[in-house]
Amino acid sequence: MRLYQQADPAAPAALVALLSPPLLRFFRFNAASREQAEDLLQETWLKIHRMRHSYRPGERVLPWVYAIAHHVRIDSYRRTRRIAAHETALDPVPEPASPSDPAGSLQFESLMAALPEAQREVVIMLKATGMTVDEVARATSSTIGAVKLKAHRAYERLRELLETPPRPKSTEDAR
Amino acid sequence: VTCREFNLLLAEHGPASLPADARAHAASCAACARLLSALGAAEDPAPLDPALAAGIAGRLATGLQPVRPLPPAGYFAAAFVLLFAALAAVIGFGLGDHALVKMTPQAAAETFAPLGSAAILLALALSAAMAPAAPQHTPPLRLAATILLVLAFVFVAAFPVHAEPAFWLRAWRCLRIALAAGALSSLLIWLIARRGAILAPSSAGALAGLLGGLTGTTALQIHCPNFNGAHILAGHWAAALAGAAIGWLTGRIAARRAPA
Repeated sequence: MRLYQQADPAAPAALVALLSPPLLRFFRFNAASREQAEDLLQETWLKIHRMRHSYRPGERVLPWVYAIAHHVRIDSYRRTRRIAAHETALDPVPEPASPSDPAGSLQFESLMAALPEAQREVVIMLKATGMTVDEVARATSSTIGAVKLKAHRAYERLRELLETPPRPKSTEDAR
Repeated sequence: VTCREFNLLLAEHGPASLPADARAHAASCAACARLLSALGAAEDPAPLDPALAAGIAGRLATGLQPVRPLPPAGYFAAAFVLLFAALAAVIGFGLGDHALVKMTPQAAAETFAPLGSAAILLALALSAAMAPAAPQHTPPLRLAATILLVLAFVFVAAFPVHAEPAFWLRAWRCLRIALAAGALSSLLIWLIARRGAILAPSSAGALAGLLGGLTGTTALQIHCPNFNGAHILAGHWAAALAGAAIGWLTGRIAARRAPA
């Protein structure tokens, strides 16, 4: 990051290679489609570029990067909601699951989709990025206690979901 | 370790670095093992397209210029406090320290100690808001609301409320001065704050507006010799409230107009 601030020409490629896969995973698990996740990734990198002077050498890079990603995701969500408020919804087109997705991935995604947004984000940051609770608190502009509480509630909910056997599709569901 | 304690340990350490006793519990408990396995699944649902990564890196490298890292947050906090104190003193003493000379030492301490403390807390919070991922002890809007409420309580407790003739006219005269001082102070504070990278303009705007408004309030506490608690609330404290509201609104509009 320091080399990037000093305009080392090799720094952008090294940073992008290192940080983009977990960032893409973060956006993808946060219920975005692959295209949306890639758009959000590009938007995040543009912001990282514009805000690179605000990284203080010696500080941890991951919370700084994910704080920006967190805001990009929230801004995008608000933008989408504003646009959706002015549009008439057509019948939703289901997004086909990628054939390369392993079964575990699909199960994890469906479990995450059942969590409230704030809890989902905390679990994904803890899981997909390997950040500590303190780092997640910094990235989400929250307190350590609030992050622990969200994670605890999310794990309780996930436990409930995992203990409930999948409901067979009834005729009522089909209607 | 019980299942509940397992959840707490999971929330505390994350799935990747669970302590040994929690892992041992998961080995003997089917429900916890299922939860851990679900969290461990799905390593990479969306592998990164190498062309996309190369495109991003190429765009970032084009015309890359060196940048100077932001100075430590403490420098900015000190600058905000100095600006607050200097402007409040220049405006207050410039208008005439009629209130200060009439105040008892106890009333002066009860007035200026909370105002100074509030300014320090706001300066620290605003300097933290200038860089992503700076530690925050209290959410900015909660801090602003608490400061406003505590100051209102302090003013009413320190200065008795009584009826007075031409109340609104006198309050408006003071409020105009406080608002003008607040606008000048907020503008200067914002010129410093914008050197950072503000991710949440509405809450940063509220902090800057409140700190600016408090400059006006403090200047009037030095100048205005009307010690009616109701006058202080309507003519002095209201400038801080208005500053916070205008700052929040300005930040919100700026965030909405920001390019995607």
